Amino acid sequence: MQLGRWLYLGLIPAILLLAGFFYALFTLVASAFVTDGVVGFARFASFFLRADYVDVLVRTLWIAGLTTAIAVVIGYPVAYLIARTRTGRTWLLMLVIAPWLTSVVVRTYGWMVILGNRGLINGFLQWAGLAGRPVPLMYNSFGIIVGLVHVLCPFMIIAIFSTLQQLDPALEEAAMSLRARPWRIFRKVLLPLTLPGVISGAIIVFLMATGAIVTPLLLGGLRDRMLGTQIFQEMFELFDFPKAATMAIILTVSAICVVLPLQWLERRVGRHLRTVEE
Amino acid sequence: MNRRSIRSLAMALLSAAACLVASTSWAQAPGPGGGITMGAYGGGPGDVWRRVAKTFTDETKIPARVVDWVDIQPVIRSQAANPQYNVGLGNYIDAYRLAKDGLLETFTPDELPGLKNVPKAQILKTADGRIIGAPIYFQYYGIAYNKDLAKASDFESWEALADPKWRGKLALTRFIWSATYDLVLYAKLHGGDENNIAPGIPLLKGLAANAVTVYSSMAQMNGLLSRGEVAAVPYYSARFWGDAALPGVGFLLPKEGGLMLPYMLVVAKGGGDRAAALAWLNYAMTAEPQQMILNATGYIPLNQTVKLTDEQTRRLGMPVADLLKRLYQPDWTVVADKQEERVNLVEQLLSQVK
Repeated sequence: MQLGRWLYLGLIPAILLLAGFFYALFTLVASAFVTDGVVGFARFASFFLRADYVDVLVRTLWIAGLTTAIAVVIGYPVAYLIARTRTGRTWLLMLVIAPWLTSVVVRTYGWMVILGNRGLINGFLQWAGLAGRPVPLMYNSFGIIVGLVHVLCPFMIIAIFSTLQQLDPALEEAAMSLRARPWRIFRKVLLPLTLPGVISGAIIVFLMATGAIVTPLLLGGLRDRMLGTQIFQEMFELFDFPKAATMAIILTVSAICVVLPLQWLERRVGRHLRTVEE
Repeated sequence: MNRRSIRSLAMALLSAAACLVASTSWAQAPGPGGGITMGAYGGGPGDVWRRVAKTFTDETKIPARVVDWVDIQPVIRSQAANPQYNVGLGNYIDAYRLAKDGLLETFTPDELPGLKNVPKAQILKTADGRIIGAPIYFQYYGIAYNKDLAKASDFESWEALADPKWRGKLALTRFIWSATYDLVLYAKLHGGDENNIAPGIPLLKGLAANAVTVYSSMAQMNGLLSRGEVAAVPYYSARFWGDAALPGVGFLLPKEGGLMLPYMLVVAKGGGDRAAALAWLNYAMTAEPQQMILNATGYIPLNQTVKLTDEQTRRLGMPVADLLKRLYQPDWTVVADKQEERVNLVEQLLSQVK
């Protein structure tokens, strides 16, 4: 009992830290609803009255959605390969995680060297006579999506891998023994059973893509601003915290509007799978 | 491990983190009698400032430490409640905005006798006439170009930046600086000034139409220029001095002149050891450290008693007096006051550029 009391005393710094964190967060969020001492939604109205900001919001959601879709398409086969590999699975997983050992800035700079006008791909295309002039692969939405898919794909792979690993390979073998073709096995067996993993991965990738800063800054062009970079500018260059808070709330609410239906779907699929198992 | 153990472990880790944060914060604060802890831009400037700090410490026995930072404003603003730096290096806009928000110490002329060697126009003051900091040096805004993709003669005038032949081959600095530097300079070139920036808008839009991207850091721009991803960009003169010069990249001051970009040392309010900070500011305004900085970085002294060597003048391309005649020095207080409004304007204008 005595030791228990001391343990509670030891929690005081953590409680103070959390209190400081939540106080700061509350103050920041509250500042978005106050304009010149008047409580209201004036800051939100100003945001939506600026056509360029609305474009930035739409672009952010569109790029995040496309990045998520591409990450699913690339991540699923990779996760399947790793899950069904008997030897060297750990090494393959290490290979997926390895890029995380390098800073996202360095990785993005790598893409600049590859995608640039004088980069690896354009150099090859021109050398092979496939393009007379450099193909614009960077400083546009394409460059941002390539960079984001590279940075975020490991999250998708690991989310899908974790569900695939729990799946008994005998299910696929049973389907094959009933002469089901691979596409049908994927559609009727694998995909429904791994859908919770796909949805979890999609939620993680989508949320991280909506808040991306470094990749859009380095690989995006003049007309490819995203909301994360806009918040960064308001926060660290103009020090307009209420405006940054307004944008952050808009971004969070927009992302929730996409994520909530996905979570609902995830729960529904999970319930359905448990019923089938029973 | 059950849930309760995980919760306990998480709370214990948080507690440890809280203690660590508190201890490191207290350990770094200079405090009274603690000497100088100064923040400077990383890379070349940070290195030479460390050498200057050593000579200062040798002469005065006041300990001085120079730490690299990315930018002065975020640091000084975030440390306001618990300062870790008592001196910082920044441009005039940063200094004015910080002083306006009450985050900097201000001084009387008696406290900074070195100001007698600085042109009056370079002394930045608050609305009530107090001096904000110690003017140290300047660089200027010109045009950098890749020698494979362009010739110096292509950019004899700033107007060339809007020439459609450069479409997709130029770059633009971040909106905050294109609204602050480019727009003000282009306005001046077309009959406006820091108060009336409308005449500069067409040239900025012309440049934006040709720009392939917005560069977010010097490192990024250096790479783009030297790799030939970008043919030219409005850029900073100190990047082209001695060892810092980029291979295959040239720099020029167009015939209309350029924008003078001065920098100063400021003292953070509540940063501790004000007396040491003042001694450091006065030392930094003397000729010896300013010569040392010019040699290493190309930042040109604001102390008018500093005599440049023939070699330094050659590298500069002209005598300082001639250079100054070609540079435009706006009222930075006006530029700083209107910065946010103009960033919003530039964002909206450039989002329409096709």
